[in-house]
Amino acid sequence: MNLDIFYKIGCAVKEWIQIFVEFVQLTYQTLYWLFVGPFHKKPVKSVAVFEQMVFMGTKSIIIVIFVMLFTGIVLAMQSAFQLSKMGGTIYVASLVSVSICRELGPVLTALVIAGRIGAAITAEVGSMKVNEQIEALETMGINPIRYLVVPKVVALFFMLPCLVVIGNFAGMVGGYIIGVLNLKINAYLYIQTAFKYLSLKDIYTGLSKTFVFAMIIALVGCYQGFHTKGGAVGVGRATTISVVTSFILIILADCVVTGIYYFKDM
Amino acid sequence: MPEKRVAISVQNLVKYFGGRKVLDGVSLDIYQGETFVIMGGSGCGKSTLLRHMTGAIAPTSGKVFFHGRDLTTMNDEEKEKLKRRFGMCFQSAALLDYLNVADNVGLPLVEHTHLDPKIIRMIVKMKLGLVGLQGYEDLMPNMLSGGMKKRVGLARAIALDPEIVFYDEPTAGLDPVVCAVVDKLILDLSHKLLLTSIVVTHNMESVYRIADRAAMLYRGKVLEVGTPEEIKNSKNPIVQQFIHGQIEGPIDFLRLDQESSELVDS
Ligand SMILES: Nc1ncnc2c1ncn2[C@@H]1O[C@H](COP(=O)(O)OP(=O)(O)OP(=O)(O)O)[C@@H](O)[C@H]1O
Ligand SMILES: [Mg+2]
Repeated sequence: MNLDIFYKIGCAVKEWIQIFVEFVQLTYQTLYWLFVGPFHKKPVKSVAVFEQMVFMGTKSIIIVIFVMLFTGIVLAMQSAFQLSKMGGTIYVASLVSVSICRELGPVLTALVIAGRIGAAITAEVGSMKVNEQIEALETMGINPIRYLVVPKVVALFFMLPCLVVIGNFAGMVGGYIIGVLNLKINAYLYIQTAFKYLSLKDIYTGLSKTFVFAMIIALVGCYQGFHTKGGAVGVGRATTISVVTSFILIILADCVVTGIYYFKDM
Repeated sequence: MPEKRVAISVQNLVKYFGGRKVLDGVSLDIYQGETFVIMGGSGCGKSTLLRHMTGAIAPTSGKVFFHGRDLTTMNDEEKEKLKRRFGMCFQSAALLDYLNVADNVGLPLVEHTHLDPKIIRMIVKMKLGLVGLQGYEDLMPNMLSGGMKKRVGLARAIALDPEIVFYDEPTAGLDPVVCAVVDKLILDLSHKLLLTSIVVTHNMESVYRIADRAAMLYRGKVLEVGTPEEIKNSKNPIVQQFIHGQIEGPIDFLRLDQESSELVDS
């Protein structure tokens, strides 16, 4: 009975290690095809990268703006309520801009994109897997990592930071709406305060995270897609796991990167 | 008859899938230029055998030789080069669903050659002409019927002028007339392009129509190899039951496990 538990734990640990190893292999091969492959006359097609960029970038702008605008509004309302007790409603401006740029913009945008793009990647690769299309690519001598994974990773690597910049802007507009229209702060004063406490460092610490998030979303999406089993049901399950895994890893990575900046400055 | 060269030689192939033996010591020689049919009941390992021949999966033990070169120990780069000399027609056609017919057929050309897009379009048109689908270039795979998909898959398989074409159940799920058309297509292509064809099927009519030689696979073993005539006159009761589609006989659908395995061994 007791041994049974150990056996199960052992199996689970082995499975996790295997998943980790496979994930590292996928990452390694992606980097190989991105940087070494071109020297073997097998470049990644730039057309494919641009197609993915259009799909991932332009079609996510609306939802990112929507989410961040309302986050900015909510943040402004919540902080105004607290700050008004201390007579410092003017600081709503800087509070909103700093917390959006440092933290909320990158993380919320990444989560939205994980739900949208990460799920789409897994569904696409997964249904290709269960319909023998991945095997067909391999049989044609077309490496699926070069053909499918690299364009997605590269595209998201460049598009996510762009989306975050747009999202940050939308969030600050949200704060501005409350600050100027509701709290009656002078528009010029609001903008000045918003940028007074916002240093360049806030923006680039925020943006540096997004490169990590982009890799996580694209690679987890592809990994789950490649390991899809069992028809349409399998695709659905893989998609769910992909999104949940991305969420968890994004939060963990956020904690780690923030920690690095935090302890470095101490 | 001129001396026959062995194109593909399978030696003592054994494959386990998670503890279950799917292929159990398969040995076959396939000669250059012939049309070789692999037949057998559902789930007996035909597709798995085909996958080994194309190098898509590695055997548990045993070897596969392509013109004397061992596929199972080859590194990926060599294998990828070799795969350009193969064409494969999948059981589910396996067309990429985000590409239209012309792009699907042209995919191997785009990926493996540096031909001008105009020339690629001409080749695609010609290959589609060979399978009787000229004028369907701009349709998406989901607008095609099952039989048309299979023929597009066939056109894609011969896009790079391969030496060997593998067909996984090219006629399954098609009406008798289209069946005959596809069979005739396979024969025509083999004769016109001097291909070696390896066809998996469980349609006996097809076997008689196209096969130079045929092998009967049963529970992971080769029961019988020979010309269609020889197969027809086989003394093996399993082969007889299979080709006549009888319910009574050594293939017991409900108790597949014990008794018939003794027959195989004897
Ligand atoms: N990737 C895999 N993992 C586990 N088992 C597998 C895998 N591929 C095939 N099998 C098992 O191997 C056996 C043979 O499968 P295979 O696809 O070769 O059959 P088949 O002869 O092509 O059948 P059909 O005529 O239905 O296509 C089946 O029992 C199947 O469950
Ligand atoms: Mg099959």
